[in-house]
Amino acid sequence: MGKVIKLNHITKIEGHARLDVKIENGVIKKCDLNIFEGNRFFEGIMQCEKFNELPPIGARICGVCSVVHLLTSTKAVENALNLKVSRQTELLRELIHLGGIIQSHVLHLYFLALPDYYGFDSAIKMASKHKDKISRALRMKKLGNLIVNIVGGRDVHPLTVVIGGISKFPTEDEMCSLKSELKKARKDFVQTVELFNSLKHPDFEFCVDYYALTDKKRYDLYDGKIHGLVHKEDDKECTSLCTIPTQDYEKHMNEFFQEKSTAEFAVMRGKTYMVGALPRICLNYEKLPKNIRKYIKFKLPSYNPFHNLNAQAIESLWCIDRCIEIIDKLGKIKKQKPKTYTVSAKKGIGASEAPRGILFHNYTLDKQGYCKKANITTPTSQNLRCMQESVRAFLPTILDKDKEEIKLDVEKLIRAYDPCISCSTHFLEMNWE
Amino acid sequence: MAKKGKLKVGVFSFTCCEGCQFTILFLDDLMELFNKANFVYFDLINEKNRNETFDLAFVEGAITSKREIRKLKAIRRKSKFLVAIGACACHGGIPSMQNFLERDQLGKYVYNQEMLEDSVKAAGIGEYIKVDYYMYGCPIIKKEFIEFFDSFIKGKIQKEFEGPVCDQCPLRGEKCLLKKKLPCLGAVTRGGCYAPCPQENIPCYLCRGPRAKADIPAEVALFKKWGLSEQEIYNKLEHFKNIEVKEKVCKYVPKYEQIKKRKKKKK
Repeated sequence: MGKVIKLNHITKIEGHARLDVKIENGVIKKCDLNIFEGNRFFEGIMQCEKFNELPPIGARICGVCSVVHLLTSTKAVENALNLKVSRQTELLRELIHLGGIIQSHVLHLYFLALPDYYGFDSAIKMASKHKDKISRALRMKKLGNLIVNIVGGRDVHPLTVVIGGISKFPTEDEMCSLKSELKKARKDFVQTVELFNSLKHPDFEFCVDYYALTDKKRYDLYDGKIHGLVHKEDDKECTSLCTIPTQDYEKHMNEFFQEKSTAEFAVMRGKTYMVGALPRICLNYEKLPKNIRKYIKFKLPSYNPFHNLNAQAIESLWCIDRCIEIIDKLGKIKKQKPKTYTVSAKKGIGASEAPRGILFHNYTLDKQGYCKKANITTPTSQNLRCMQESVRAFLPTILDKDKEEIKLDVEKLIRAYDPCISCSTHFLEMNWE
Repeated sequence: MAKKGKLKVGVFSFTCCEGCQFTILFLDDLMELFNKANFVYFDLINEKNRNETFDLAFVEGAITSKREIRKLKAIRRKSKFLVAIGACACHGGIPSMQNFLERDQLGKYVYNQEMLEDSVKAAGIGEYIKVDYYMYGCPIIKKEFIEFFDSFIKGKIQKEFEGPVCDQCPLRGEKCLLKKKLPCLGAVTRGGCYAPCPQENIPCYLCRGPRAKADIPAEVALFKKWGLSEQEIYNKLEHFKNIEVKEKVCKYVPKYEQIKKRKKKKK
């Protein structure tokens, strides 16, 4: 007897996606993840735009990771202009970046993922029975917004990031109150880590290569070189590490179109891979401070995609500590004018860790500073193939359950990756074969 | 669990970044909002979304495909009062920048051919259905949303703000960005946003679209006097624009047609 499962509209994720599964006599005949987000042709519309207009347009790729898109786009433009910003600017931008990560992680953990584990339809319905958890989530969300608001000027699509610097600086009072808010909130973040550590995840492993940006000295989300945890023949015991300079990412990554599915897939060095909080924690475990490391209760490296949730919770806690560290490092903020620059025909690449994984912005400018070519690779488009294949591997383990349960489990798995469909569907230039 | 007596609200999303939905989710008193009304359709955070009738519907995003037109019309039929939220739903926003690309070039930027065949010229939702209220901005402004929502519950419809952005701008007067020769478009842009951008030293970039009485030729002449090239002025005006700007604004940039031709040639 055949089972056809259609998740016509996967809810509680950003954007519009659909999953078609067909099972016959226990054999999976079809497992396609389809995206039906409307076309926006971002790379097309960015052409012929002046370099300083690119970041505000780039930010509109996604509402929830607008912060990271804005910063990465700015980095790419500055890279093309050969411009190095001051240390203070870098720290302020990192602060906005971390605020954005907290916003996104908290929203995903509590509003999109957690209700599944407690058998609720939504966080709103959960609120009546689990008031403590939802009020905690709201406090944490407010804090993330506060960071982005104070330094960025607005919590969705921040304003102050301009080419060469920052357009408005937070006052001393604002930074002081932010620091005390951060200290107050730390407790909430610890409780979140504990809450997610207490959840029972399905016992499932999906072994793929992991990639994340890595800094030489410390745990970092803002910048770094691409590091990979690569497996030989999908044997999880047989691993090796590899390093790719960010500027060379295109040489190693291929994006292609698969006929059976409408989604675009990315492979790194010819293989399916995953980016995101779990790969980051697995690759940079040793750089995490001890007082954060102690909260990791699962064996590393873990290939259970559900552990991505735990990793996000741990990372959010790290963000709080790092924010306090940055505020201390900044000390008294000087009012610096944005750096000046000369425009030349050049290519610029910017990469940073978005909440969901590595994000690349890549622009080629002409000699007047107009964008000749834009190429943006988002974490979700890198994860799509991994998501689809892991669903395919996950299905046989839950086939004896009834259809509704299978549906829910599959949705839970897809949500664990925290897909952001708006992001992945800005459409890349594809190769026709 | 439909709570009796409470308004039934739906939040819908079409082609966009979903930043307006997130602006709603990022409200500080989110739970109060959810207590005031029954959000029966909000697929970003609800697993089960009931497709019934709505007292109030918020629609974000631009319309870019035939499929979306069908869905939008169905939403309209089921909704008593429908609000367009954000630049994309109000006047096409960023997604409608694609209208300036050559149609035959679009295939280059897309991997989903099935969807390309289904696609139509990008437009705000007002192109296809009757919109009862427009809430402008990219993204929408929290304060404006709450003010509208609270008065709607009380049975009143908030009046749309009539003046330009400058009317609410704290920099008005001596600190005005125009005095620093920053090309701020606040004077020609629909107000009501409490001027968040000028406050952060970012010149207004017309995200709410041009207001009815906007004196665009004067603005263009001023920027030209400062030495901005026509392409630069055009780029400034174009961003959140599109349909509206094409009709209302770009005719004021004399060499607009020529610039467009150059744009085509470049590809």
